Amino acid sequence: MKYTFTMLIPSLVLIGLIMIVPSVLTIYYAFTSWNGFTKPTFIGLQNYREIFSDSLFWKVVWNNIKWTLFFLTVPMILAFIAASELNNVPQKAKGVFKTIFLIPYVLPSLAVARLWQIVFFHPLHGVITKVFNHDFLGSTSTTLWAIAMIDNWHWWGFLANVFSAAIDQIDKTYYEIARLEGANRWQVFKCVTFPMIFPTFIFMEIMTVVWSFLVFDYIFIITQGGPGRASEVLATLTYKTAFFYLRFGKGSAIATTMIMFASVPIATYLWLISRRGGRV
Amino acid sequence: MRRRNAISWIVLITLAFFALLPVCLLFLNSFKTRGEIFSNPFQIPKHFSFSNYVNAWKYTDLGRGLLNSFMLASLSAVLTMLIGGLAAYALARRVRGSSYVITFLMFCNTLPLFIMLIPLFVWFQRLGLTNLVGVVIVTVGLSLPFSILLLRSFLVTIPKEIEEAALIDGANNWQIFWKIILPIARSGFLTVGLLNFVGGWNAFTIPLTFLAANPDQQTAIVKIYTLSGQYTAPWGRIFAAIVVVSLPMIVVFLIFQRYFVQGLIGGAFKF
Amino acid sequence: MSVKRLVLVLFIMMAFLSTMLARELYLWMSWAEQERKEWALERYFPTFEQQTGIKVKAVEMPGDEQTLRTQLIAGKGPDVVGVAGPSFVPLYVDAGFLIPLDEYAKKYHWDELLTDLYWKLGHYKGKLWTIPQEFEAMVLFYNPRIFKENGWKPPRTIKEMEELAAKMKEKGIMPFANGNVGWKPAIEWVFTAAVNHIAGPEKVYEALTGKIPWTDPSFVESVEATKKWFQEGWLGGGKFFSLEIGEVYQLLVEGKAGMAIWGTWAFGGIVHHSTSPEDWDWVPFPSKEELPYPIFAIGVGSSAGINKNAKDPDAAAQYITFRLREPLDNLELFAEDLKVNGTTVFTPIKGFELNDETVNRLKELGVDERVIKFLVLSTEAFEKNTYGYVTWTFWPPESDRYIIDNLELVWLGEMSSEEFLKGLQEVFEKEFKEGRVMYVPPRS
Repeated sequence: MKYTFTMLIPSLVLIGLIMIVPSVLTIYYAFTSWNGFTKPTFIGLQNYREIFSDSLFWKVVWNNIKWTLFFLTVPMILAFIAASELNNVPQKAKGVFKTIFLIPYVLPSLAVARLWQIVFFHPLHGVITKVFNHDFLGSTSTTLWAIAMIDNWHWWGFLANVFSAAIDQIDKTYYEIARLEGANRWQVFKCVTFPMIFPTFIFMEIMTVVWSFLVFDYIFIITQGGPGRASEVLATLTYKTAFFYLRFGKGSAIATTMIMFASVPIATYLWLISRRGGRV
Repeated sequence: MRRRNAISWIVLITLAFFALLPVCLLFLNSFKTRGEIFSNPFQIPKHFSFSNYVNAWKYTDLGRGLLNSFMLASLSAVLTMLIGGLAAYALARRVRGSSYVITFLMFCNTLPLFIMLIPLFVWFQRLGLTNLVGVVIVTVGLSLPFSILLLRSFLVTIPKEIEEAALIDGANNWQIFWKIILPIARSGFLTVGLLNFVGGWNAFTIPLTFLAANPDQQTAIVKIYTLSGQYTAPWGRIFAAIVVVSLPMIVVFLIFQRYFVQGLIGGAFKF
Repeated sequence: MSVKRLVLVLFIMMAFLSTMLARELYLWMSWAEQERKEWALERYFPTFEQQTGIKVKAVEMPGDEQTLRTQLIAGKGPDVVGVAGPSFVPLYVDAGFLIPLDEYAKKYHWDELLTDLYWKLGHYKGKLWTIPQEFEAMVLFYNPRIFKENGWKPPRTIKEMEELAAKMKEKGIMPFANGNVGWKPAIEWVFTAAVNHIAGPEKVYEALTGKIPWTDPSFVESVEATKKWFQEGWLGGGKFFSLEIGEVYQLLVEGKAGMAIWGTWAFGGIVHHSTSPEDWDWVPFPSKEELPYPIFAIGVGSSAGINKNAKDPDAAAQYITFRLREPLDNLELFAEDLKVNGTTVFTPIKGFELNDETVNRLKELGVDERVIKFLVLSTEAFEKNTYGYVTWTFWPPESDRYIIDNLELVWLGEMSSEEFLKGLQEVFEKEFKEGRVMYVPPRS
């Protein structure tokens, strides 16, 4: 049976043109000094030397790591709880809940960001500000977490649906056995639910790490990396370096470091798959 | 048993509240004046005024924006499904070089968007494609890696025997794809289609950059962005516009929620 | 063919040709409020079309520089290019976005219209490239009602201002309605005000012309002052980094804030919140005791250049001329413009004098007295040489950006004032050597 390679060609050509060629160009720019106006001049590894020796860069990477840690835990926990509990309600209600959870995900990021910024986190009138008597977005120690919380509100519903669908595939007899043996909620989760959806879980965790190093929208819209550098991440640093400081060469170099960091989890994942014979 | 269920209900309702409350506030605030939004963001507006909606619609030509959004979203969804579907099928059946292609596609997922932005824009400008057509092409190109991988994982579960039977009956590859595979994997395709539709509807960076000089072709989201002036932003109007732009998405969702939600895993993430 | 027929044919041809040649001007506009957009579409552009026969195609675009530059790189963009400030001119010229304006300057007598300062600001490498517009200055806004209730007087010295701020804070009034959410550069307003009114314009001039470094003690003092204003909780009531720029007008007008460090562009914004003289007024920004008073740190909002790809550059030149000559040719229109857009529409030109007659005429036409006061006082400042320099006009672009990005680190205690200024000096020196510093008008 012939599955022709030609079926792959349209996709590969399109991806090559749209993604690869421009990216290669940008990688080339990473080795140049370019102000975005006149012609770029080749300067070799100098951009990288500057970047890696700048303590600001590493502070920014640390912000990305903090963001990653947040998203590896908080939305996951919420999604797991939701997905597990969804198991215990009748089908129709389940569908309604799943849809409700998905609605925040459907809203555009500009909308979500502005909504939370004005209604909840506003320094004078915001609901959260009043309740906790603290300006979360305006203080350096809490701003990154506040933005993460906003993005989390947008994201966890999607995760919940993913996990719920995965749980749907688990054979119900396992649950009955567990119940018969008198397992409590936590034990059911630990011994039945979690192991069975492990592949899904691990995939989403990997993608979370990847996406965390690319995160841009919410931070840019809400604080643009401020105050100070408290919420600066690699993507906003790239944008600023290129568009505000007019140093496109250096900006491109920072962008390439994003790819480097994001490739690590991907490589890990692929290695895991090959190790376990495709059974991850 | 009943106590267990009760807890589940409580948890789920709390979470639903958490998800919906901000949305309700968005809706409520879209009826308020700017001053009211700031003084009382949490309360029901004193007078429900539709002026925000009227203004948003009139002054940003939101109607046309929605039309453009719809064209972008549907075209990119359909094209991605077709082009990507073919590729996914080939990969699912392990064509020669599949593992390399899969690795390549996963790698593509790590590329941040604006690493491609300026070269793409300059290039498309030279081709005269800084219009909706150009945006569709770029959007499809960018969505393909993830969509192909997702589709592939659905198609992998279709047993080969069905195709073999069809082959024996004299069908060629393309007929098999159209008449057998597609119907079976319908929900998977729909899922990917919906994902792309939502992505196209909410897309921001590419439409903004490419269509900056072409307000007639701008999508609704871009138009909302331009509502914010340099110093002040008419928040009531923006919220109203956001409600108008988000509503179709929510409706599409409610109609197709079955497919979207079910298909996300289906046989997915199996590599 | 008979003569009659020939004439008829010629006539038809000419009519046809003239419609084809109907001149068009393609502009990008970014209106902060709806009223401004309506006025422009209903009054401003039609007047221009009437007087020149050129049709205006105005498109509403995001006002940020990145969008503009992206389009220019691709060979598109508006006919009249709004360069974000004189400091961007070298970059735009070197990139080939603009055409030299010398021939239009001769044709439309711009050299006779523009004051010396503005004429020179638009020059680079010996040619004229832009016409600076949107005249603005840093001042101190305040709420007269709050001041009256508390028996306060508008401050004339920095010391008085700081004392007032402390008193306001005690009473729970926000001392300065300032914030930078949505417009990060708002922080450089504070820097500009401090540096010009504490170190003084003479020092700024010397630093901008490379005679003294930015690490001079007078600048350290200025930066330290801004740090104090922030750390005492005066700027934005301690919420500077989370206050949205648009709401600060409301705060001042309602009396929740007592003062504000804004520039005169705010006239255009605040009139849409309140026109009552009880709610807001302004005084020149206070100076340190040893310095003259009043000082106006002046600047240019944006400059107009002509796109290399403009189909009809002459039409663009006519538009620029129309804008420049507005006070001379169309005083009523100018008055309306002032009312809707504030003083940024004003470019000081020779031949337009703010004598009593003109002032009264403007008052009759309904221009706000506070706006007229600024026009008069700033013109005097020009004549008496008591003007200063705003960062976004006279600092080169990277140095400007450096200030915007790093001043907050000083305020948050993550960087010392000395380190900040040392960094500024490094960036500035580099740009200075590259010839990126634009014309800095000498003191006399």
